[in-house]
Amino acid sequence: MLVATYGGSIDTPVRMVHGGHVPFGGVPMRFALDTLSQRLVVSYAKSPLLEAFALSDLADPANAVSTGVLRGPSTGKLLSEKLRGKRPEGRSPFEEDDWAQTKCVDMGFVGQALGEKGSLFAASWNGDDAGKVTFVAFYRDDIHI
Amino acid sequence: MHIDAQGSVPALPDAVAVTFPILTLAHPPAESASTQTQTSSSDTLETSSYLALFEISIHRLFAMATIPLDLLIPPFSTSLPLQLATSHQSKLAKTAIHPELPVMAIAQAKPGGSIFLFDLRTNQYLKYKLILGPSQFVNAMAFSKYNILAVGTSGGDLLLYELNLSIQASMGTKPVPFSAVPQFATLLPPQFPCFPLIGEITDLSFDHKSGRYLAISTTRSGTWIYDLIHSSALRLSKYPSAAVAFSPTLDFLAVSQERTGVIEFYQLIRAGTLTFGVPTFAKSGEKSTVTNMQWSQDGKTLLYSNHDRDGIRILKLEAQATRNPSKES
Repeated sequence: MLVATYGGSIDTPVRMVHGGHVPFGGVPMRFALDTLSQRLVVSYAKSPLLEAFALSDLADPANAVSTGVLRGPSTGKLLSEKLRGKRPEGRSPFEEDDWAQTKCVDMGFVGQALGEKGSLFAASWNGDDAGKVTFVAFYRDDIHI
Repeated sequence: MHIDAQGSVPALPDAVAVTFPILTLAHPPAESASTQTQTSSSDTLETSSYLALFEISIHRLFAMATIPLDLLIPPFSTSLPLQLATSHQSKLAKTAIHPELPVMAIAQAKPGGSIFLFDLRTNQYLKYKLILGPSQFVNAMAFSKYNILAVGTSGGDLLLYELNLSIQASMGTKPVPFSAVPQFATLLPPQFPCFPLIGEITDLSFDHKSGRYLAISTTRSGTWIYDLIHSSALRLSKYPSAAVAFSPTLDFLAVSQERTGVIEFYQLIRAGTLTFGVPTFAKSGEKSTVTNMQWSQDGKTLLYSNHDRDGIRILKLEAQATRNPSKES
């Protein structure tokens, strides 16, 4: 006989605007837990930002700590020729905040990509022009909870 | 070809396509035939089509006993028109990650799109892509540890690709011949229309231990278990379901029902073949559908999220031995 017990919840931030104009938080769309059960990455509805949580123990989800956000890839939109002419030295030729148009469509941790050293997080994104896949490495040595 | 500083993979290549002759339709009759020939051939076609209909009806009658009767009761699934993705040629729909190898499958977000395979050992795409039919839109994908990629479509089709994921398949200069011919897994006898009775496939999950059983959730016909060795299907639950997840280390299966917020838990009994215990129904705490589920590595903690609700919730599962009252007395 199976017995299921409610073990609490990991609270996600309320819907807000990050950095002045980028929506963030609210309803989770997808999430991925690494094989060590120490890192949880969450994507939110209509937001280009993912949030990473550090988990010390799944038995105590209230202690989950947000370690920061992961942003989507650049959509690759180049600045117009007119604006590019006025571009200060060192400034990206891509439009500012064009990554804000990307949406995460799926995610997961890749098996054995980093061996015993850590977990490799993969996410696929859709922007205005194309789909892209990005990878973020979570190294075991960097995880201090 | 390498991952750039931003962590992005290079653009999808124009990989070598493998065509599948078995999927091509027969050629239509030539238009240059004479009127008389056309009349006689249309009569023959009409007669043969009546015979074919009669034959199908007889076959359906005999196969009726092999399918759950409630599937034959209307309303049936009706398909929404698939969007022609002229401006979404390279957008992505779903990804599947191999449980043991650093390989991922990436599906395009358009009907009749392709599935590409990216190998992180070589930072290259494999030399072949998997091509779907013109009306097939990928809803779900799952990898087994034995390199089988299962693809569930919005049309209720379940395709199984047995893949060559060797490093040579991504490094070699020549295409890998005939390594990705799909096998159609049938949940119902072929005499019956698939989509109206089955509905859309919403999620797939392989049994991690054996790599032999595949759990399939559908919008109309409930949850199925497909045996890859015997090519047979078992209907596990009649409730339309949104997600399925086999525990990675223990013998549990979680199934989320659509629109009720209920999660069904099954205990697996492995004795030659796979059998399932009586399900335990657990309320998720919300009445909206549980859309995402993932087991932790210990195999007994399930993380899930509900549609349109904040937070990630946790359920812990344990198997308790049933007490025998006769022995106790």
